[in-house]
Amino acid sequence: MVSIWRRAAEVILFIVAVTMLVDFVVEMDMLQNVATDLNRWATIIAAFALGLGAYSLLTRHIRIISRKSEGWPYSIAMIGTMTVFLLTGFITRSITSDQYNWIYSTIIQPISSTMYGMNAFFIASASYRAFRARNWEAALLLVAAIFIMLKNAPIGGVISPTLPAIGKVFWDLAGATGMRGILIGIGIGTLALSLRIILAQEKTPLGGAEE
Amino acid sequence: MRSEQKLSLSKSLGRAYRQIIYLLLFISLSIPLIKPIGLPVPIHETTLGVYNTIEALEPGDVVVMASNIGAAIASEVYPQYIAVLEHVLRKDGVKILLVDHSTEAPIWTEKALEELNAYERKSYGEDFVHIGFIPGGESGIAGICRDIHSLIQVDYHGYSLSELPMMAEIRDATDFTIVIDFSASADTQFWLNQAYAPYGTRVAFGLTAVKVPDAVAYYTAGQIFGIIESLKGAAEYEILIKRPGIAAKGMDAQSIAHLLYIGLIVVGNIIFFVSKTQRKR
Amino acid sequence: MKLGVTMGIELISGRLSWLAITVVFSSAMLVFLVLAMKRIYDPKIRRHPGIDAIDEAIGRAVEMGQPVCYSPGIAGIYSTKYAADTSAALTILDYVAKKAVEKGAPIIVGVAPPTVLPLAEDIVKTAYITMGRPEEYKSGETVRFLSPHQWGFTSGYIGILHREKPAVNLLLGCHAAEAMIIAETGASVGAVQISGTTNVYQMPFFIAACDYTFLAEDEYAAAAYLSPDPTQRGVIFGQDIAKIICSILVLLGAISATFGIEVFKEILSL
Repeated sequence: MVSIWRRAAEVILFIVAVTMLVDFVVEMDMLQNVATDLNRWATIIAAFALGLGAYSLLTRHIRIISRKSEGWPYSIAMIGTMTVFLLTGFITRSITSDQYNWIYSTIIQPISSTMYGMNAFFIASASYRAFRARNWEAALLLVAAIFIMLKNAPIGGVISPTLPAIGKVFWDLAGATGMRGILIGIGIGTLALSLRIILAQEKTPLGGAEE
Repeated sequence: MRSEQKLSLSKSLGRAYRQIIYLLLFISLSIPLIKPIGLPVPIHETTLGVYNTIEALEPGDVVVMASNIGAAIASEVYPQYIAVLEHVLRKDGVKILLVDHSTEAPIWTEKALEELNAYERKSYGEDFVHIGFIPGGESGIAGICRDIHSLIQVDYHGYSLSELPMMAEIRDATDFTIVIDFSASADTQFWLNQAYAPYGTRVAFGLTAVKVPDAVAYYTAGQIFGIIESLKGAAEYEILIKRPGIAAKGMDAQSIAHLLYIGLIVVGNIIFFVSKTQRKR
Repeated sequence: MKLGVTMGIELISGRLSWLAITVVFSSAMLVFLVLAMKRIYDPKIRRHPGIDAIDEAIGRAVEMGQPVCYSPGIAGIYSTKYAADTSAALTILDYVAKKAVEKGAPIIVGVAPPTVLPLAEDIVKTAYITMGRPEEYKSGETVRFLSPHQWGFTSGYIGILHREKPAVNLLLGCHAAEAMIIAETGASVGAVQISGTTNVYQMPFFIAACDYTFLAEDEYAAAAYLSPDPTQRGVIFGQDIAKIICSILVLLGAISATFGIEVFKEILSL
């Protein structure tokens, strides 16, 4: 039974992929309508994936609470917060309500900003701990990094206009060109994975690590 | 006794180096924010690209402002969004289509519209429309570029798109004059893939600092017409539109912090080479 | 916008070159995929030094009696840009899990996207069963679903690092802004860190903060080397052919553009 479903999924995947690819190249009204519908379905399915995240979180934390595993009071706090947020949305019937926005701006926004802001502190400690000129390549990287930092901050131009100019040379010649090479490689890798998925050689998207 | 005390002090400092560094960084960020130095902010061509393009817009042109702003990146990208939105709102007759790609972005979009009094200055439905969150990542963007009316029937406020006068003339990406995407993720490439490549729609980005190197490759290739680079770009844009805000105020702190990072790299390397020399002896 | 009409089909201009390039690249990969699938030609991929680093790190974990922590990234398996990254990370997780269980090091996997959770659980559980230690796998503990939200995941993962004090921290797959925070936290607890990502924005942070980093496609190559599936190696070989073709096109295009010859630009604009 599982095998039949897997085969059906593989065939549907192949047909949908070829349809979208052909639609990208060929102008045909009927095909365009089909591709537009497929696009809409993909958007709707992606919206359901959000619900999947909430479901997975709930099941995990309910299990932690029922077993009284380590940190179970935090699980109660998590579920409680989630419930309050959900109920606020349902009761006010809007995600644009003042109450909903208040929860977002007093809880989620400061916490997320704090977590992201921690990056600055960790980069500082990494600058001291790890940015060592162990060999000439590392030394070159450090020198380039210093010039680019002086290009990005206004203080570089204040100290001397030459500093940001040198940083721009590093940025345009080394940064952009290196990035293009990496992007080409990654793009080809993504094409390879897409090919494997379309030809049903990649098992993971269809729900199985091993057959 | 004294050398033992000195040894234990240096050992203690060595172990607590993280705390010392964090304290130094906190001080270097706080002081310029409380007492600004007033360092000049040079304008880069990538920011000018966005400014000049918007300045050249004519009545009837459609600007799509796509947002992936969330609480984490808001400190870098939201000031850019506010500055560009203010600039576009000043252009009479230019239509604005506001699209969101994350669940948090609609909140920030509405916050920006209220902060700039957009609902009082302009007429909703005629001058600007807020579509809201479009799920699906690239497939959502593809749907908007292909046929927006078949993908979305109502806007963020629940109004039917067919009732909004502005949307009568906007069907697909060929009707967009420019797209400016504010993001910190791979979503910016989606607009290049789905709007620029197939339809030739001009695209620009407003990005966090870490994503800029990727975008520079597209800028130098002429595929995008501008980049607003992080808080620095937001500060430059605020100066260009003569509306200095939080970004411009943050530049002094950024400069001092950058000098601290450079100092830490230099000190770290000095200690590394000194200890390496001592070990060789 | 229409290039021409052929057999009643209208091709859209500006996409013919895209189609040609996609067909050529895909053909190169397809040929070697089929050859590998039929075991006619199984390309040899060199053993990446990073794999030796993983083996040494797991050995260190066994000696210290500390766990191995693994993060396969925050991108889902259906992500348009990072699905390949996540897929490679899961392939390497299969190897790491089997190696760790075989040598007796506990493994903890922190998962962010809900779509990756069942796959990670399947991989790790199978590793325990294959190595004859099914009783050591603890449901909900060995593979921990932390949060689909980036910062919720980050908080949970650095909490694991601080509490469990792993000897090894493996960060493979797509990591975004949390990369630096997790890597530096791992360094602060004394873990040996091995990372790999195709997210070019985070590679510099990994290079700075980790002991070993797989750069971009190195991760794909390492996954292909470790995978028992020969088609992965075939596709990697096909990718290399595609990259060679790309390099030739770039070189010819750059030379022709330098001398003002527009032919390549015109061909690629078809």
